[in-house]
Amino acid sequence: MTKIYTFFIWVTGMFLMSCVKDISVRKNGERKVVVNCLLNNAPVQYLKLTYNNNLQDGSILYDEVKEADIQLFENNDFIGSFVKEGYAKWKLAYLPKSNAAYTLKINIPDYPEITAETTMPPAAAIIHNGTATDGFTRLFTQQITDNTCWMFGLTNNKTSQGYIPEPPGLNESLQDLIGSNHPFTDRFNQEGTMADINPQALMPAYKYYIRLLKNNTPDAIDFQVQSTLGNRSYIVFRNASNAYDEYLKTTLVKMFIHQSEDDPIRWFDENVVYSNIKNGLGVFGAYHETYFQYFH
Amino acid sequence: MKLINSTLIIVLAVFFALPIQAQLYKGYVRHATSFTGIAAAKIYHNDSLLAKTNDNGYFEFVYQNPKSNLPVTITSHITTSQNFTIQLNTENILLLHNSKDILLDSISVKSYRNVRGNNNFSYSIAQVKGLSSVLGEDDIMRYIGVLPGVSQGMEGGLGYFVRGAGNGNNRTELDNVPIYGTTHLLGLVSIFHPSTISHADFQMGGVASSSANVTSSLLQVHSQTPDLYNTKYDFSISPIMADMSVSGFLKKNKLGYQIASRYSLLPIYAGAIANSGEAKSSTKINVGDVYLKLHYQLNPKNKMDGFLLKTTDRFYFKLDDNDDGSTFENELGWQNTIAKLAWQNAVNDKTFFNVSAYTSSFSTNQFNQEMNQNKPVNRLEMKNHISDNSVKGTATFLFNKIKWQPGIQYSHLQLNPATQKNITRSKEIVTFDSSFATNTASAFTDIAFKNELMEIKSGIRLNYFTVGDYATTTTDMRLKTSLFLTPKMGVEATYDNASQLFHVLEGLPIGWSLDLTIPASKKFVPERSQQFYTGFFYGNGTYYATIGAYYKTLSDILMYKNTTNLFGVKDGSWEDEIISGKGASKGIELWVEKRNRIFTWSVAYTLSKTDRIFDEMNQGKSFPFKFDRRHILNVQSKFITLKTVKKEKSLYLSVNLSSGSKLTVPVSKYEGIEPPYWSQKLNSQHIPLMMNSFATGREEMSAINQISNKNYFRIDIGYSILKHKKKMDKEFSLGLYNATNRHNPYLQFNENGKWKELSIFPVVPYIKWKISF
Repeated sequence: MTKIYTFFIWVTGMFLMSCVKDISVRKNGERKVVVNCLLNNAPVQYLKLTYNNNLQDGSILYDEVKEADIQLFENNDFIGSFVKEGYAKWKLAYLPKSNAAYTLKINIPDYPEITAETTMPPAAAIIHNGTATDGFTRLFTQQITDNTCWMFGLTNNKTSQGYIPEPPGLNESLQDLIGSNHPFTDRFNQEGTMADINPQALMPAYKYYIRLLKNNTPDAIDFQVQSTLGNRSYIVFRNASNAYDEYLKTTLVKMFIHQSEDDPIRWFDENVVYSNIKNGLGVFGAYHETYFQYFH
Repeated sequence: MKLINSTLIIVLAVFFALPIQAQLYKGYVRHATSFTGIAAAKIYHNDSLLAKTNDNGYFEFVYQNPKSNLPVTITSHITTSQNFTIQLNTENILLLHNSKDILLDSISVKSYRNVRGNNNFSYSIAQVKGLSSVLGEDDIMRYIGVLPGVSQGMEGGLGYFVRGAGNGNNRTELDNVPIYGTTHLLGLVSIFHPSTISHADFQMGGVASSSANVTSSLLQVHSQTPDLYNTKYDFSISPIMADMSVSGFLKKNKLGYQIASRYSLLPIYAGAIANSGEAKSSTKINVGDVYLKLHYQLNPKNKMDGFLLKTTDRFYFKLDDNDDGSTFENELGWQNTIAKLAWQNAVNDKTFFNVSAYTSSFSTNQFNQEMNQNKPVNRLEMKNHISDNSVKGTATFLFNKIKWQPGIQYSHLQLNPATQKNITRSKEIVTFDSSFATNTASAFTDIAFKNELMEIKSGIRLNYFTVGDYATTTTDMRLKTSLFLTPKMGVEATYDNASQLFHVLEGLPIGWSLDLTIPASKKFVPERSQQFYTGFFYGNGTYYATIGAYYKTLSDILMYKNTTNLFGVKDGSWEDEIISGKGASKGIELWVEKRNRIFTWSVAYTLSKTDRIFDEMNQGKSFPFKFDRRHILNVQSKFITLKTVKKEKSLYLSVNLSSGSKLTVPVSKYEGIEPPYWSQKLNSQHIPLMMNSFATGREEMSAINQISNKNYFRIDIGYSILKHKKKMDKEFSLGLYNATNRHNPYLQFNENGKWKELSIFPVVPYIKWKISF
């Protein structure tokens, strides 16, 4: 898709004789605390607390916040405080409850109180209905849901596996493309069709992830998924809170703008990555992850 | 006896008087388009002056040798001469057309106004001459950019913003037919062939209700009426464009025609550029238009007009890669196909009817295709199509000082905002397709009152609109009043409350024609605007000045969430990519002008502030509009250095100074959360460095449009020599766009920690040669 616009800019450039030159450094923004925390359906929750860097700073390392009081509230009830585990990393042993509202309060010496809110989504209301007659298309049903769900495929790289499938982890690889005929998808990252990979697969393909929109229809939705996954691979569904959904979508949009290093379209990038941190940067969101083995 | 004598005298008097009354010729000379009376028009027969029209265009005279049909020639300030046949004892209606040979106020590069003020401008193609454009074309749309209240988009382009509204809130018409793709060459030149244009009316307040979907401004371009007595030829050439025009008659005094065409010479350069590199590539560019108009004067009271316009822009690029036998093809294009048929009937000098039907079709297309060994591997197509079919009937009634124009209209629009098709290994998959059939029934009326002290115009338009299951009604109201405090000075006020039943999803505002048009719906209801304007005007025949203030609000306007969609539709999911919000703009506008036969100049200044509010942008807080330029100053001048019967030399100078456009830029960077399992991609996947850096890090952006570019400043100079030969006119023009070679910034961006600035046009010379005979 981007190639169309690469050409477009090429044509434009040919006519417009545009000129790019270096200019003096713009003033940097103020120093802010960055909070990154995604609650999820795991027994331990993690949080990272750092400072932002100047744009001119070539380092990808960010200064940590050394002292902080980080409190988590569930429906306004105090749950506990995060404790520092390593460089910029904090943890709290707690399993969030579905549909509960969570508030984060962070107090740092000589810095305004940082607050953020999110809601823990329930598990994705998706049922696996087996395999289509073609042998490789998988069938699913999505119930009515108020949450946006992200779907993606993971290839299992384990050399051996037991009878009971293990949850996806560090051994899996994110698939490049995944196809689906789900009627309510966000097509921002749609790219060609699955026929690129499998001549028999004709569904629209999406780059890395499919964003399934909220199903506000009165009925369940039957949909199909096509992938190149092997027997022991996974289809993963992440039901996302609004904050995490916005954050992930805006992050991916930004990434795709920069996927071609020769394309001047990136100069026009003014997209803002979502943040819900009051008096800071970053995100406080939540997700509930479920998975199906592709040929389970 | 006395009774007999008296009776005899009366009978004789009546007897002799009858033939005298029978010799009376009378009627009105009116402008063919506006139907307004033309004062001081001279009526000749065999070179003898018979009469002159009064202020209302009325004439009457007695001719000694009466004929039932008397051939006459009429000259006026809008035409050299036009021939008519007038009839005895009939109220003749003679409709005059503007002649391109003597245009209104041709010594001026500035506009004249039907009513002084800052809301309506009428100007001819001759007045556009000298306004520098990148390609040196006399472009009827170029004039808008120098008017007060107008902010320009990208440098050199024809995108414009009127009183804080969007580019898509402007409506452009050719002979009352809406034009959806107004430009050629990526927005650098309009589709209006200079030789076919008579004049243009630009309205931005108190807009006529006869046109729908105008929440900002209305540009009505009027074509010339073919000459029914002479055949004329025009030919001009510049390094970018060659154009020709032929106008004449098929049946003298009855049936006239005009054929005009333009073709871009860019393919010559494009081929040279494409073949100059090492890679085997080819480029095809096809840019041009064809125009045909027929005018049939059935009789003095009835006439028919029809025109056909076809425009094409096509840019094709092919790259061969010898290493693996693969080929890459890419194409971008857009086309207009427009046809109209109209019938005008003058029942008498006070009643006129006009019935017209038109079709205006516009489409854009993009595709890219990868081929291997001449076999297609992948092909991606994107298309956008609009088809507007409409019938319209209007009437004009003149009652003393009142002009009443009611009308009705029915429009059927078929819209396909984005069709996306993938073809992989000969298997075609339509991945996105949206189609809307809309119907709009409208009734409208404009009424105007005018006397020596004031002019009042008001209009109302009712629309009933349906698309699918959605139906709505909208009401547009317009009011324009001018009150003369003294013969030279007065006040003006306008009020506009208007709706737009179609949303234009705007791309980059350079005027290229890739914007999507979608209908109003339950989710995206019709856009509305309200505008108030009040101001003073002054004019003494040499100097003219206006100053006024406006306030405008916009509601239910749309914009893209993702800024890269500014390049047009990035993918088929436009529904997911747009949000609805509001806008407001306020400003003060000043216009000072001197009209002189030798030296003419104008100064336009605008002080304005324009904001937008979208719930999903900038945390719901108000932010400046992208082209919210606080100060805009335009100076235009023309100096005639030599004027004789055979030669005219003119020097043009213009200065443009305005505040820079707005930007959203990164101000810091910070650690982010990677997308799910991002670091666990297969090793075989190549991820560009920058893309990967945005997976792990984020940029903190400034508030939306918080940063201003540096001020924009440009000087253009031009020079033209016009020679009147015995059988032809020759004109040679040349000039410099951005004569000081100032690199005006359009964009600032950060790349790998370094700040850079993009400017569009350096100094650009232009040259043009034109002959007319």
